[in-house]
Amino acid sequence: MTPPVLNPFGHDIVSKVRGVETAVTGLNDHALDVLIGEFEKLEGPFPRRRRRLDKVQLVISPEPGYGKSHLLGRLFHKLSRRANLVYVSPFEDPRSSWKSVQLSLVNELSFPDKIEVEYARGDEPTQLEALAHGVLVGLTALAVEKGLLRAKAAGALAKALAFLRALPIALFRKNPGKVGLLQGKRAALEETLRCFCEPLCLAGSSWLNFFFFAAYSPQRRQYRDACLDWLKGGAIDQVEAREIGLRPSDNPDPQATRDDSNMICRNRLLDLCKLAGFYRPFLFCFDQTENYGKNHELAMELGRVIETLWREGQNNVVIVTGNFKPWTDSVAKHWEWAHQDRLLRPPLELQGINRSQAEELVNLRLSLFGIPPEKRDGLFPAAWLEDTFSLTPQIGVRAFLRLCSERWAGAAGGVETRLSLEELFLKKIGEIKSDPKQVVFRYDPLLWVFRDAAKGFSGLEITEERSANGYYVLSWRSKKGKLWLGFEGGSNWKRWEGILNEATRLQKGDPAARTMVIRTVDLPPVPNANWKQGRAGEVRTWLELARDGLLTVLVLPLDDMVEIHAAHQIFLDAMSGNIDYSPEEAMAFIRTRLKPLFQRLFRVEPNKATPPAPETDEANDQPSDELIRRVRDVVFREKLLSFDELMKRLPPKTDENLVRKARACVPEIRVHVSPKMVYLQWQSQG
Amino acid sequence: MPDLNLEAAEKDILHRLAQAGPKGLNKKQLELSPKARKAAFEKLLAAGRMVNQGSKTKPRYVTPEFFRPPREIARDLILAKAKPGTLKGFTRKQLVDKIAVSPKRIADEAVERLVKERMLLAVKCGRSVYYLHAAVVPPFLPEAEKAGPAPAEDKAPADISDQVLRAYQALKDRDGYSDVEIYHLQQAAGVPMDELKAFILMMGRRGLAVPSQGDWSLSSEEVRTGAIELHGRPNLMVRFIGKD
Repeated sequence: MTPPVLNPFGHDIVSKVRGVETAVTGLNDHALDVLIGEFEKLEGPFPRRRRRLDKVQLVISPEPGYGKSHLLGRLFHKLSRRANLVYVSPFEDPRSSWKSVQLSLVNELSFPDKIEVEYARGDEPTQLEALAHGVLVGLTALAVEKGLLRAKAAGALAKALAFLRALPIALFRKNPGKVGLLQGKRAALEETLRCFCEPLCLAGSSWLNFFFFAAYSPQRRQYRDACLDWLKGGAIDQVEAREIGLRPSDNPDPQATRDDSNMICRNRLLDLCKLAGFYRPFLFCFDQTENYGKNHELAMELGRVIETLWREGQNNVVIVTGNFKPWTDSVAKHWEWAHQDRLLRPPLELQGINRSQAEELVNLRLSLFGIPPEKRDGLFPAAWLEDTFSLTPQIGVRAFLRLCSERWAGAAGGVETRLSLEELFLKKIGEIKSDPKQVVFRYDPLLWVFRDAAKGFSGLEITEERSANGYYVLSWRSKKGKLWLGFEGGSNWKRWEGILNEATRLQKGDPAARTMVIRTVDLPPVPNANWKQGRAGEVRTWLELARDGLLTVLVLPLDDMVEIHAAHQIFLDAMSGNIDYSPEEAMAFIRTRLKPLFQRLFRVEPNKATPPAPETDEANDQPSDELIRRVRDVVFREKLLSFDELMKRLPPKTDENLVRKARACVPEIRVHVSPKMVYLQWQSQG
Repeated sequence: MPDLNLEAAEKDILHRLAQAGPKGLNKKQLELSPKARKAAFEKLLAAGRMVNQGSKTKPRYVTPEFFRPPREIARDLILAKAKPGTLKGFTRKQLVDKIAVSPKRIADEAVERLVKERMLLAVKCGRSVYYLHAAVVPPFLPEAEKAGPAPAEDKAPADISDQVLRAYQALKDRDGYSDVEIYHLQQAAGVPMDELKAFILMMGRRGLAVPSQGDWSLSSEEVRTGAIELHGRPNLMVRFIGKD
């Protein structure tokens, strides 16, 4: 089959900062250098290292498409394994801001520590595992340095300490004896924390035990999931908490209100920042800030979050990006003066691309697609470039890519027209499906789709109102009655007891009211197999009975999750000016497109049980070496083919999701997503 | 051994295309029946030394320097049709009829974009919508600025540069941003808008000014009057820079 002709300039939006293309020479290098320079102020030997920067870094561009997200991507690559990298997705609920930021943090810390690795397999540590290990060895080295721990140091102390700090995590994972040795020094490590760390919100011992588990016991999946739930601010089972070594007081009340949960997440995050001082700083990037301009409460809350990170957080660099007009008119103007004062003045301002950089970009894109030089010269002659830059020395990068795209499409006999919203939506779905890590429970897209996108649905009145404990955050009112909606990622039986209690209270007040809690298929099932005995068993029975009109637990299947994430991202792109459609146009499309989803939700009968998602076997959840080799071989041989064609060349009944994960394990395979197809291209590294 | 027939055919085709300029030539006009000429044609197309300005079914070939994206062509043809000199309104059908671009939806998209950019005004009359060229309106408004983008002509008198650059620096110092809205620059400098736009274009040609789009949807009517059109888009902002 003849390979398709892809448009080398069709990709002009950076949707993932972890996979940006090479930059052209000099473009926005100044901004990058300044940001790295600021970060480096926080590096250095502890405990003498500086803990806080003077300012929050503000990066501004005059219009969308000047490369803000690309800059963040370059920064991520430069600081990989020097910083804990966190890209913060915009939050939608000002009262759950810290919960959202902490969720972003946990999701980001679940990425591989090496940024060039897209999918972590086997012993490849995640950022969290690296952070946990780094803090432990960092504390140990400091304890030795300060005499709180005696160690046989062969040779000079400084050299020994450097050696200690550089010990790889793999060494400990392969040698349980070494972990045991370190665990035996717990008292000294706690003492070191007390002496050299600012007071923590949680007990030092809880954090140390958490780090031991996170770093050295990743294979114990149940406890690994519990660790992540706890880090997200959720309550975990008492048995799990004991096993991990958390103090009872540090395991949140499972029935904590939403506001309390929000504070818990805030405290977790600030503690992590303090502890990071023993290893490496955090980098927090707040991108797509136009979304906060939707209402002044969101904008104000962003200001408060940034202020808190700066004032109370330590060992972190905060970067905020924005487009000039939305930033000044819709976001910053709602900040208190004190919060605005935290921002770097003047901000870092991005540059457009100049003529020579444009030529370099054209060559770069065409060479990635193997276009011969003579064709390049024919399609993009010097005269055209001169003409393009005749009235201005610089153009926004995206604007230039679009000019190139039009030229390419025209020369290929086709016509460059803007993609319709349907095409953009399908493209987004392709991108999300290609990236296994994107399809996870996220509160903000869910809240947005059921609060904002569902508005205007015939006969439906949506109100943002909270139940007393905040388990339910929205109400839908129709002729059928009132439906309370909540979004819950936690799996602790006590929390679900609280959710059921609240549902009962709501129904007492309004017998026609129903409640629905929305979860996603990646979460553990509720109720789960462990809720067998005692009170947990009772809650299980109650939950099953509750389907008869009290509470419905709706588990969104993968396809629905993908559509919801795609819709949310399209809307964010429209807000940020990344696509040629206004937010209003995007929303009108999304409401029509998601209508079948809302209709299905309306038809969910309260007594119809949502079948629990099957428990996944961890071993079968990972692509095998054999599968990875096959995928690699096929793409290498074909050089360019669609995902569907790849599937045809693999054994029948091969799981698509496993193939996607296998693809992510081969760095030479580049993914190109069009509205109708996902293409895989072989690109040699180096 | 080089194929002299092929080389000669290539030369001739390119010569004809150069003569035709932006109008280009179709296959018939290129006389592709001899084998060598057809081979030369395929080779030039594959090498990107000529491009199809028309459609797949009605191709028209030009050399790359004459290629213009169909969207730009549609835009210019529609604006020309809308007759800036008269108060005549056109229906959409009248505007897009016989606009030689393919597919037709490009012409429709061009109308929508021109309305968004306020280059065309959409006026509802009963159930019909008529389109007027925006330039016809200002003479009928009291003390209105001229709508639409600045013509790309270098007619700014040199003596406004001090005023403009001083005003620019003051705005930059006050607000802390290098990019300022052209409208506010005009207000601060106290110079006529058309002179300011011409000045910015002149400085742009010299590599000393960088216009940018800003955010049309968030901008007021006044701010939009400062738009300068570049590459088919309105630019509401400007940044003055030093020479590299």
